[in-house]
Amino acid sequence: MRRDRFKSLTLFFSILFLIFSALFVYELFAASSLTWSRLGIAFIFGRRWDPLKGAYGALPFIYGTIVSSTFALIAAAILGLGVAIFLSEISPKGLRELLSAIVELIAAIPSVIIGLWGIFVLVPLVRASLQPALAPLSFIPLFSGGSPSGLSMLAAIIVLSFMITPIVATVAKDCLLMVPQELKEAAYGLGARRYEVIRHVSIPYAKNGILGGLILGYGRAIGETMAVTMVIGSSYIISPSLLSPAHTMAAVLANEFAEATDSLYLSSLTAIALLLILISFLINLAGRSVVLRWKRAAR
Amino acid sequence: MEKGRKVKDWLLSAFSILSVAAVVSPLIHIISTTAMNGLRSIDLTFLTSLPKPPGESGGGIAHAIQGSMILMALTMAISIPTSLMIAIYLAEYRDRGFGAILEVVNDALIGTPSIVAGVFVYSFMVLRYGFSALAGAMALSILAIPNMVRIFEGAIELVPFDLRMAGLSLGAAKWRVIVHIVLSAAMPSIASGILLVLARAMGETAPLLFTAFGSNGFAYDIFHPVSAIPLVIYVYATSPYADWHGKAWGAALILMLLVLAINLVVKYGLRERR
Amino acid sequence: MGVSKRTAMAGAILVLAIIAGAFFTFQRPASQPQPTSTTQATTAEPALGKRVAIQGAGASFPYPLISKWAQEYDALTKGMVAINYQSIGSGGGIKQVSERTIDFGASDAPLMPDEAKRAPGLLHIPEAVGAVVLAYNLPGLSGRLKLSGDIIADMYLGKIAKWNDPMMASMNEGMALPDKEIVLVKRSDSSGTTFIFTDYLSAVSGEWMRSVGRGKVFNYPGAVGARGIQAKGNEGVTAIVKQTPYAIGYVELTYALQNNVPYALIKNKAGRFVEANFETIANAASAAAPKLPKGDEPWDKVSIVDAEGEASYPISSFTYLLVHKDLSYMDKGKAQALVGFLRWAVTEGQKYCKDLYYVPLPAEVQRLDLETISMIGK
Repeated sequence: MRRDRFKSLTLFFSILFLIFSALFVYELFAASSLTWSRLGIAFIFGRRWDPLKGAYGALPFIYGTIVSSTFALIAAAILGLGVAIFLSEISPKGLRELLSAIVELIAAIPSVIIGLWGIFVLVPLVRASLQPALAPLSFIPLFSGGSPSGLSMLAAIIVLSFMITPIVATVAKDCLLMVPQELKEAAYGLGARRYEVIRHVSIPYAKNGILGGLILGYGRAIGETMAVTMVIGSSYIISPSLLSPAHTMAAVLANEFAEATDSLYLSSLTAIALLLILISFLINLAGRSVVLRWKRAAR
Repeated sequence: MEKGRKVKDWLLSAFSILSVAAVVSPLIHIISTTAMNGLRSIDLTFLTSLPKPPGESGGGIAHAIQGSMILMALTMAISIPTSLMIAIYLAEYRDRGFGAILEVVNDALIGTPSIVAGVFVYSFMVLRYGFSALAGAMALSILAIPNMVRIFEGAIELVPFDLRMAGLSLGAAKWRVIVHIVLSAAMPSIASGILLVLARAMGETAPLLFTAFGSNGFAYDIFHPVSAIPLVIYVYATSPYADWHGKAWGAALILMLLVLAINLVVKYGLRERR
Repeated sequence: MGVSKRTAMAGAILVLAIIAGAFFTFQRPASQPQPTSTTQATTAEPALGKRVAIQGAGASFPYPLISKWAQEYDALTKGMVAINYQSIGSGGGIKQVSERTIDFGASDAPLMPDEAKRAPGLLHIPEAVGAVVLAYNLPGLSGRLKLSGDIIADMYLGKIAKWNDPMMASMNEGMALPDKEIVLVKRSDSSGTTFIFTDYLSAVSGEWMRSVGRGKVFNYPGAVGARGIQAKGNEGVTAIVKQTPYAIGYVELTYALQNNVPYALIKNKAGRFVEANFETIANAASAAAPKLPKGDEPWDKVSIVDAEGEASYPISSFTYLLVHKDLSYMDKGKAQALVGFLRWAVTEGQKYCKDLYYVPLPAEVQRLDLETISMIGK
């Protein structure tokens, strides 16, 4: 029967896809097995990455990834929410369309172009203006020391914030717009002001959806490669200061993967790739399910 | 008491307006810097010549433009049929357990970090067959397919049930209904999906670093390395040569215009219908 | 929401037309306008029917030179032999040629025993001589910085932290060195340039030898702290030094000269401060020439750093092309073309060295290379 044949065709591609995905995960496990067997879990907590001496510890990169993404998330949460509130509650309808489109456009800019701008505009700015401006705060470990070139965790945080704010803003805006009009009108009817309606009605209602947006943004930040690689400074040293250069899991892969000559080196890099994708998977799945569940409930 | 509420209200408005400004101004700065610096470098030579050795001025990025086009063509050739088939399965033929597994795996792969796609294709393909445009396209497809499947599936599911019913009641076989009726109806959304994913793939650099690898001349064939616009941006931006920096901005301008144009067409192409 | 059918159709046709155009430019021979020198019909242009693409990758050290060769050879063979070279660092070059994902590799560091074991049959073919210089960014400094091996070692060990440190001042009397921290730049990737640099430091500083040693990578000792930066490739290090005030980094001479970055005079073994130039580098190389191993023997002991001679530059090095002796895995036409290119590079190609600030091979080394190339079985 023709129908079965067409279904078989679609099934064929689907099975192929699943086999390929399984291969994907398997290959990553297999290629990194040397590191896991020889170094074990200690690999994740090892502070020292020294290919010359054969010491491999992924902590500098895990630290850099988590710190840069977390600070970026905080910034994106604040700004993203502000943008979402403006778009959903304050702006007139025409402007909303235009501004939403502009905000979404930010997410469309290729990462390497943001990295390009980062190298020639942001990094000199960090070096020449931001660092000196933060100097009086240098008694706080977070702002101590510095990066003489401007390549720093701070620069990476700034580019990441810029890149993930549109995600947070768009999801938050969509969720806020789904708050039932009746609820808001009831609150206004009781004499509430806009701030109170937003704070006590809209946001609590949209809370889980917004949370989903934050999680998705976090997932994007963790996997971000080019813009971060170009501005973070590639340093193996774990420093408490945001002004110091740092490294991330994605950046070390971009920099060192093509040249890892010995097996343990290559295996360790693949192990980092494995960790990166596992973390990404989990965060994205979590984010997606939170958003979906909220959207379904909100309808 | 009343004053406090008024102030909070005002503060919120101010905060949200400032947020918009804080988010939009870097965007404007990036676009204007790219435009100003890029325009200085773009001319006919830039678009049609091959690069010169480092240290010499002149030359262009014709190889990168060609490379990007080849990579896009290959990626689309691999991704579109595959994604369409998987999406049709999920939307029309889905079996209980298998469908659920497929959906979960697809959702998981959507967030794949782009560099990891490159790492996998390197281990899997490049170590056996060398660097090639095909390997680059494979890496890009790993990123493109999950996104396309999601968009296509959504588009197909949105086609009204009545349309299918009408087709089936006229005696058409299910597969005919899908191919001729459902897909036609979903085509505008499918086309937008393709364009959006294409725009993203065009700007990807990380997956190409150790798959397509880069080249200094025109592509030899799809089994050899090729250059790409985002690759030259990366290489030129991190080099010390002022001439190359200018070229990086020029390439960035071209890429940005392409990406923005595609996104705008998708968003506003709808107007034509009305 | 989506595009209208007509727009989609028009767009699709346009895109397909452009892509078709792209594929039609595939087999374009003779891609570049006139080469910079007159082409004479000389050694080995392979009489091939089909266009050949040769893939090379590796060191950034000789990248400007190999890139120039690619351009000239393409013109010489009228587009029949296209050479594509990617600068990914010596470590990358060794790795990829060992895996046979590329046709030839380039590295300034010779293969270490374990690397040679993993890829037996890789031949070393030195193709030029170059130098590693200490490029610096000292705004407003008049005059040329002078450094010695042990001072450089102490800088990179973190023991000398400021430009106006007494040891620096005593070597550079009369110069107003600023009261600023030294910003150190090194390579983040696996680098032959780093190998040459650390080889030199190991030769002149016992402490460096003990605590760091020589290698294609090294980590900054703890004392350096946030003053230490890494960058990818000679390109990256040069860019950072150029853009960062009070920075110093080790780069290949060509990069410093092409980008107008000042570099230091170094005290050589004979006690003289020399600048890296044609003469001083050639002097360092000629002393070593008679003692080089054969192409298929181990080269890990080869080193011309800290060479003898009043006018020898102490941080010089050969840079090597790496090719498999047994090219049977390669397509025959390509193998022939590769051998032809290699032969041309070590003979005719040497005339392009000088303009790019590399030193051409001494005659004995050229002879050695031709012998090695003839070892390549087809």
